[in-house]
Amino acid sequence: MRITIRLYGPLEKYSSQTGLYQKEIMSNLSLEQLRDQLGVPYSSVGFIVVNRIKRELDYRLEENDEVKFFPFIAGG
Amino acid sequence: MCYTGKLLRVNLTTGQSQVEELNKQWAVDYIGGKGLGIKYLYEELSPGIEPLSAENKLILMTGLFTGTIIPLSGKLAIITKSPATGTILDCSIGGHFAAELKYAGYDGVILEGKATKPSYLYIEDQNVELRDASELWGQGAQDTELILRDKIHEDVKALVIGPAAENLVTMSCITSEFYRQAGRGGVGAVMGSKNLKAVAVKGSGSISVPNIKQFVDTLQEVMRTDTLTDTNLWVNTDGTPLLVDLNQDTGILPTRNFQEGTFDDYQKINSDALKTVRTGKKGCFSCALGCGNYSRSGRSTVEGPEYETLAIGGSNCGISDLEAIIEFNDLCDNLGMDTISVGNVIAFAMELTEKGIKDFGLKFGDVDAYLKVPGLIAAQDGIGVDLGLGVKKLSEKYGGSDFAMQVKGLEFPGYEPRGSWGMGLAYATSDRGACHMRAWPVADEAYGDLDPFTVEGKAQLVIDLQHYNAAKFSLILCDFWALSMETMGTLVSNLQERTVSEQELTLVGERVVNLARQFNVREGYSKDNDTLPERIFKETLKTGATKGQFLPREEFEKMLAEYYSLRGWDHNGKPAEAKLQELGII
Repeated sequence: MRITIRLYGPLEKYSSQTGLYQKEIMSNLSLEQLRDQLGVPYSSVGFIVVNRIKRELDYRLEENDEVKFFPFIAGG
Repeated sequence: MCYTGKLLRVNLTTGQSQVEELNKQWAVDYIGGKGLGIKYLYEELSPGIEPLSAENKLILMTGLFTGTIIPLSGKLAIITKSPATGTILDCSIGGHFAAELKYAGYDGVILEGKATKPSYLYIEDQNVELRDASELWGQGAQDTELILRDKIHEDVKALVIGPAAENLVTMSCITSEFYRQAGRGGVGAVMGSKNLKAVAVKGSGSISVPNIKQFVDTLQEVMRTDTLTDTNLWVNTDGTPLLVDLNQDTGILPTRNFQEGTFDDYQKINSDALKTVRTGKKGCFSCALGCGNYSRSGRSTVEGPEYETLAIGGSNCGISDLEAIIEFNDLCDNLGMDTISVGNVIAFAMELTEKGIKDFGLKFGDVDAYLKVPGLIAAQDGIGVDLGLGVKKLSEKYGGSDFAMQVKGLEFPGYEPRGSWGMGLAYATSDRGACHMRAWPVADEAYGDLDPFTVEGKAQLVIDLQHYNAAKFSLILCDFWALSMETMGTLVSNLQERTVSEQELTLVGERVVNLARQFNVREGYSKDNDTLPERIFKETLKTGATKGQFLPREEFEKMLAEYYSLRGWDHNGKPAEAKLQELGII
């Protein structure tokens, strides 16, 4: 199935694509599995938002989900 | 080691200065920067003095780390009594001034009294002169610095004020290197009230560290494992504008005077939008990350806009025109004003106008009227007279206190507390009014694993974060380095030739927070002032991840009571004598 992905800030380097891009994935993939598939180190991910809602790593992806990986932020 | 051991005390009234020994015991207890500056001010100021009178003092304080190659150690602390709030006020300004002051031979400068005419202070190592500033007075902050570089030397480092501070506007700032500010609480007005246009410095000295080989080896390791890592590199890839996207998706982006937590046009003012006009990056002295973004758009070039300007001066005013926000940033920079306070007072005036309470001719999203405001405030002209009062006093004059987004007279920064309840406590208990730089629970709540919509555990969280930041700002390190307290201890241990644990640093943080609180208590502050505007307690947000949320007052009071109790303060927020004795404050 197809999803859209965006890797923000320093996480962008883990993909050959920039900005929002589409990806074919196996159905029922979890966010944790997607993260590992993309090669993003677990310690680099601040939080993940799916369709504008913050989700845990065990969230199972669905067709057309828009997934954003945000980095850690310190300060303000 | 790493301290010069010398403070420069300048009597602006007489024009005389003297060098005195740095108080060694205080340097052990408070380290430097925020902590040491607050200690000096607490001991030297009598309670009840007028912040814009000659009795106030303006302290410039470096830290233990200043002037070394420790990454992100380039900032200067500026400490005074705030004209906006009447509380203790410490600001943190980047650029290169702090290191230069240390190389000139001083850990800090204490500015007292009031010059008899517009003046600037020039420090070149042991030579200290108060010079005539009549040709500088009235010039913009940026223009002033250009003139000083021309007059004195191209490498001179300076702190300057613009016309807003000369006119004693309580949202005026102190500027360095054109785009870096000591922004909040009217610190610029204190300098203006002393007839002091600038402090310029050239230093030919240096700093030595105890064991340079060990120090450099330690730093290499720290850089590799704890600095140039994904945890910190957002600073370099994007800088603070990245927060527009994070806050939109977590529902905490201030919109139209904090009426909403999401802004439909956020993509016009986010990091992606900024990158289309980005022409370069910039860092401060010793910075390894470089948060600064140069942006050029239309008539303006700025280093910025930072998140706060994009949010408070953008979505919070209903403005989605990035070119207009860049111009707003540019205006505030040269006039020398805090974009957070100016943005907030514009948004408040927009709501007062739209609600028919008081017509300022301002409407959410009206770019032309919005861009006229900074000039009017700085010149104290037209609606600028009222708007220059700030949100609190403006609401006392015309009404609307329920949606006057401020605490103790300092306007809200760009995080919606109804979407991060701990942030509400942080704003209410910050030593200088509503501020995100004392504790930032947003990272743990909105972006992290903690439930944002509960008060459970938030009192302890805010306490821990306040201690961390107070210690960090006393070393001095920049807010943006997400290093552990343990790494801070390692760095301090390297420079002090004894082991300094994270527990010891946490204690320094606790001491600083309590001393700041004691300063405020002495000025008459109490629990009544540790509160939030009614909007936060009563109105629900309507969109996005925070739809349906508000912070019930009884929950807030519970959180505040727990905070006081954990801190060893009484039910009125006054530190108990036992606590002050335990910390060595009395």
